[in-house]
Amino acid sequence: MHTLSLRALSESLQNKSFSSVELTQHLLNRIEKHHSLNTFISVSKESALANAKAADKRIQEGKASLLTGIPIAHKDLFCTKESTTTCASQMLANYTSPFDATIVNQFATQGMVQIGKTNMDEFAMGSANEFSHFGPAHNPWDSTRVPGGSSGGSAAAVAAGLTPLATGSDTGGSIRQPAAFCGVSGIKPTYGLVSRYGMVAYASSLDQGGPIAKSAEDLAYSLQVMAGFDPKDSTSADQPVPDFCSELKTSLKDLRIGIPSCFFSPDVDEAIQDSIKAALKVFEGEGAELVEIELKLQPYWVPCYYVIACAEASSNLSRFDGVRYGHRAEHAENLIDLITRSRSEGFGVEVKRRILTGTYVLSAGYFDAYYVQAQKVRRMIQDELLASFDNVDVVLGPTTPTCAFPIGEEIANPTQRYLADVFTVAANLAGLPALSIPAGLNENNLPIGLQLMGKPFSEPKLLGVAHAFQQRTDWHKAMPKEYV
Amino acid sequence: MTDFETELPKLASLAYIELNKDSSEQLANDLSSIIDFVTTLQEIDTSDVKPLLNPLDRHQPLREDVVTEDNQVKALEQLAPAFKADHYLVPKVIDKGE
Repeated sequence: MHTLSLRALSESLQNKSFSSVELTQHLLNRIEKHHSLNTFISVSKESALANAKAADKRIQEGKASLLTGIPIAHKDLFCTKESTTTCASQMLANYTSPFDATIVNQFATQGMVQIGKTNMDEFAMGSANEFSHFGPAHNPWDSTRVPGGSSGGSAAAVAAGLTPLATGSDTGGSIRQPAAFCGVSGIKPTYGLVSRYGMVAYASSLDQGGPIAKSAEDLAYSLQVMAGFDPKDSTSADQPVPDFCSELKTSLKDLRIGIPSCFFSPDVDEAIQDSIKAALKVFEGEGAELVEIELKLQPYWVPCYYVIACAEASSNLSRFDGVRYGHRAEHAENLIDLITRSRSEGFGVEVKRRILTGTYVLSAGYFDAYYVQAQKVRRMIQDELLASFDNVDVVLGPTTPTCAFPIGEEIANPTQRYLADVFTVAANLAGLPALSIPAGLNENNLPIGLQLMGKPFSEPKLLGVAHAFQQRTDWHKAMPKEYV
Repeated sequence: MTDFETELPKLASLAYIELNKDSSEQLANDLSSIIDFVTTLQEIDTSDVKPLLNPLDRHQPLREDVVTEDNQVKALEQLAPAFKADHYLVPKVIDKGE
């Protein structure tokens, strides 16, 4: 059951090969069996089985939709009434939201079964899932390695067959980078396509929620549910939602694929370069045209991203004060002492580092030189990327410069780790859709991800191209041996 | 290289974060590397460029000015670490001037 696609699961539920209760119980057993992966922060056993029972009734009555009865896990920053929403932080370790995030509601309305909340970097700040108050999640392909981050628990849970679908959020690559490290598919939609209401904010102008699943087809089915205008999110795009599923049959003939030369620098692992070049041959074989493009501002992507992300984080996280909700320090002498100690005890090291960086770039004397300058560079980066789509349909390259690295690997300074997002941050800065799909395995049997980036609201094209690739290759079907 | 040893206490107080004696030297070094890393942005001439605040660059939709939710005091009370008679409790902020 745990290797089936969403469509196959749906067909099996409809033709009664198994029930939603049986499927849910099977996955709950697997989650328990593989708990050492630490992919879940909380598991909603009782409510999941009750919801599965209700889904079975709905199927019986002929009122089911395609996803009814299929389990789903949510990254632990999507607010849920049924369980805690911790953001992997001590600050929110006991927090239960009084409302559901819009996307949580959207999936629940379809009759999907929420089985639990997945591990992540604290407040989505990290690229390795090592900055979690609940301990690191592990990569099922090699449990001594990271699953990537910040949606590491979601990607690892899908890769290990603990859930067929998980939600994630992507501020600088947090869906795509873990999807690449874990050999699964994940899409960061265009900014505004998916509601951010009830998704705890890290950097509001960059954050976007999206699905992580086994294939582009599964992503299309999931995105169909998640996408759409939400009056509760003032940055939500008020426009019709395309039919992602029926547009999957894209022809690769005459598709113009942009290949940025900077994506193939010597800093990129050789095995990754080889896999991406092999994938390009597949596309070329189907009649696609490869067009070399130049993205001169690429060296500035990550610095620009970190100024804006940290500035917005310092502002967003100012809401945690120990007064209204979240961790509160004991025996405070006065209000300032209460706020300061609550924050200092509640936040972990990376969150503090980013809040302080953000405070610096927003402070008097540095605001123009850093924050405003980064916003101007951001416009130039967006202009350059949008201009590239005058000549090409999609931009293709590796998702990451390396495969999954060992947990606890020593690094000289934090900026070295920030470069894990070197190819992914551009889509967030420019608000573009981008996805990662599996495209190979390296010499250590670690997954390699291929990234496709498109112009705003071109998800049908991106998913179609990814689906066409997956019709011609089997990388998305590969699973780590002990989890098959 | 920015000297964060002198800058850090001021920043920490602005961000309401307490500095730990054992880790503040490391934190100062980290911030220094991060700021040096992002300082490269200043190489770019942006004199005629407008800052980009939101990637969609659209007008934000406004909703009707009508009440959509009832009073949520009970729900909020359950989340609050200290709450009494419909109010959040905080340490005393006004002294008697004694």
